[in-house]
Amino acid sequence: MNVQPVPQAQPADNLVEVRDVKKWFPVQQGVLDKLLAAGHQDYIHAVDGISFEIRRGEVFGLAGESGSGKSTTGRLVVRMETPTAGSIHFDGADISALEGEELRRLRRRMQIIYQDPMASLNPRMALGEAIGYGLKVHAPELGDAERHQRTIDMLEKVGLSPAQFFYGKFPHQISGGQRQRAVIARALITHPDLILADEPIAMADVSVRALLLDLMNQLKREFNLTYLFITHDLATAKYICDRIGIMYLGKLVEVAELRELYSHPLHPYTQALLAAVPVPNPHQRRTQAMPEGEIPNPIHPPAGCRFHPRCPLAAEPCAVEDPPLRALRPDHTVACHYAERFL
Amino acid sequence: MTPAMQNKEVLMQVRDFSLLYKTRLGPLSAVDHVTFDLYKGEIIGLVGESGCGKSTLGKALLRMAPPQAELTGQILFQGEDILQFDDRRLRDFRGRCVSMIFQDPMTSLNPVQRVDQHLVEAIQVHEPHTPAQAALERARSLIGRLGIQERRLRDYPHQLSGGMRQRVMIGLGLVLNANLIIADEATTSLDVIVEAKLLDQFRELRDELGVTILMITHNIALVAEVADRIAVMYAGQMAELGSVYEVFDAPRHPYTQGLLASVPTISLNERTELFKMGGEPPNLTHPPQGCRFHPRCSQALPICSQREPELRPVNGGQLVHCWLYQNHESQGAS
Repeated sequence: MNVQPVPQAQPADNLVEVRDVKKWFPVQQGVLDKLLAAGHQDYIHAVDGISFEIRRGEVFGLAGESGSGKSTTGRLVVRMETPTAGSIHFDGADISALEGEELRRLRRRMQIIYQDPMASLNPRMALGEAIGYGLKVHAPELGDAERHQRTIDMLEKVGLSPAQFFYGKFPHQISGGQRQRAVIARALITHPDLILADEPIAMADVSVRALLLDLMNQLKREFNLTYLFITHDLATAKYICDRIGIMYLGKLVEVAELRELYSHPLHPYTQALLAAVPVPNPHQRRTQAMPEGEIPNPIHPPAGCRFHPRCPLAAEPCAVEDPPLRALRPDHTVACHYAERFL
Repeated sequence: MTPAMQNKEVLMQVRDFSLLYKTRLGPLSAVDHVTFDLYKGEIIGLVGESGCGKSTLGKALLRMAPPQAELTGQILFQGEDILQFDDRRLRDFRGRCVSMIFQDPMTSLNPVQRVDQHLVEAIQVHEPHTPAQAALERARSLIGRLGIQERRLRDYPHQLSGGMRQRVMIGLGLVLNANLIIADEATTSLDVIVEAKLLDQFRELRDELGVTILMITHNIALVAEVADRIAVMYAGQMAELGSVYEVFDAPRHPYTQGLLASVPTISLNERTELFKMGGEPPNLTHPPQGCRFHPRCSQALPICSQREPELRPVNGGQLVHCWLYQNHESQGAS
C-alpha cells in the first residue's frame, strides 16, 4: 500500500488532501441471512484506499465507469460520507471526523452541483428563494434586502437575466439549461472554496453543454473556485479539468495533468477508456479491441490488481500484489506493475 | 462507401409523414412532413437534441404513437403501408419484422422471467406451433452469437450486467429474424467500454445478418463511429440526411454545422473551446414560420422566416433542408 505519513504542516497550495481513504458500506441482509451468516458481514468496497490532493484553484477531475467509486469519493471529500479509514484534510484542517455544528459551518465552504437540476431544486420554491436559502442558513445576520440583492446579483452572474424575471420563476417554468444555471447560482451564493460537480452537464444537450462548461470556467476565475469534477465522459473533461484521476473499482489507477494523461496514458485501463470514447469523425473509427467483461462486483473485488481479470497485460504478480501508485513521469502517477512498457 | 450504400435496396419508406399531438395548448407538431428511406443492411443514425422528435419518429415506425396522436402520410414497409395495418397484421409486423430497444433494458425485461423464458415466449407468441424444445434451441444458438454465455440463459435480468441486458433485448428482436432494429438511446446508460462493445455488435449484425439498424441517439460521435448514414432532426423536421462521410466532412445545414462544432472530443490538438449555439429549440405548439431553425440561424436570409425550404440534395450529395442551397429568388417572387 502507498502509505505516506501526513506532513505536519500542509503545503499551502493543496486545498484538499485525501490520504488512504476507504469507504465500505455494509451489505444489507435479511433476518434469515443474518442468522445463517452467524456474524459474518459483507461490505461493498466502494472506495478502497485512495490518496490524492486537489490544488487550490484547479479543476481536479475524477473519471471512471459506474461503480468505480468516483461519486462516493466526491461525497467523502465534502463529508457527505464519513470515511471508514484514512484522513481528509481541507485547507489544512483534518475534517475526517467532523460532526454537528463544526461540519455545518464547513458546508458553507463546499457546495455541490448534481446531474439532474430538476431533482436538485424544490419544485415548490421560486428560484430566488431557493438560491437565497443558502444565505439564510449560513449568513443569518444578513437582512432580507441584502439577501435579495445578493440573489439578484448571482442570478445575473450565472446568466439568468433579467434577474427580476427569473427570481420568481419556478423550476418547471424554465428550460433544463436554465435550471442548471440556477443550481450553480445556489451553490455559489455562500462563496464556497470548493465545488463538487458530480456529472453536472451529463443530462444537457450538446449545445447547452458548451454553454454550461463555459459558465463554469468563467465563474471559477471570477470567484477563485476549486472544482472537483466527477464525470464518466473523458471528452467533456477535456474542456474543464486541469488534472484528472482515473478510478476503477474503488482504486485510483492513474493521476496526471490532463494533457499528459490523454497523450501518454500508462495504465491499460486508462488506455482502453480513452480508446472507447467515440470520435465524431467517421474517418477515425476505433479498431482497437475492448477489454473482456464488465466492471466486477465491489463486494468481493479481485485480489491483487483489480483490473487484472480484464487486462491484456496481466501476468502472475498482478493476481497477487496490488500495485501502488508510482510516479513514472513528471506529475504523473500510475498503479500498474507493467506501466514502464508504455514509457 | 459501404456496400449498404451501393446496392440500395429499400426496406422502409417514410413518405411525407407527420405526427400531431393534441395537447391542452393546441396541436403540437412533433414530426413534420418527414420523408426518407431505410435501406437493407445499413446502420443509420438519427440524431438531434431532446424534443426534436427523433424518438417520436422512431416509435411511429412501429406505429407506437399514443392514441391522441394524429398520423398522416405513409410508412411503407416492403411496399405495404403500416398505417393501414389492422391489429393482427400490426402485431405480426412488430415482432417479426421490426423490434425496438430502449435506453433502460431493466424496464423492458420482465424481472421475474429468466432470459430463456423471455426468448421462448417471444418465439411461441409469434409462431405458436413451435415446440418449446425447438424454441429453446434457437434461443441457445442466438445467445452465443450475441456474446452471452449459454449458462446465462437461466439467469434473471437482475443478475445480468447492463450490457448483457441490452444484448438480451437485441436477442428478443433477432430470435424472430426481425430485419429492422430500432435502437432508441440503447447505449446511453452504458459505460463507454460496454457501449463500444455493443457498437461492435451492431456492426456484426449488419455485416453478418444484413439487419438494418436505426440508431436514435443524442450522441453524434456514436453515429460517426458506427453508422453508414446520418439523419439530423431539428424541431420535428429533417434538417440534413446523407452518408456519414458527406455530413461529417462537409455539414451543410447551419444547425448541423453548429451541432458538430459543439461536440466534445478527446483529441488534444483540437480547439480548447466548444462552439456555443445561441437560443433554444422552439415550442412545437407554435413553431416559427418558415424554416423552424431561422430564429437561431446565423446565416438566415429574409425568405427563411417566410417560407419553408425543401429537403433537397446539395451538389449531388446529402439532402439539406435549407434555403442557402436552394433558389430562393424565384421562390420569393412567385
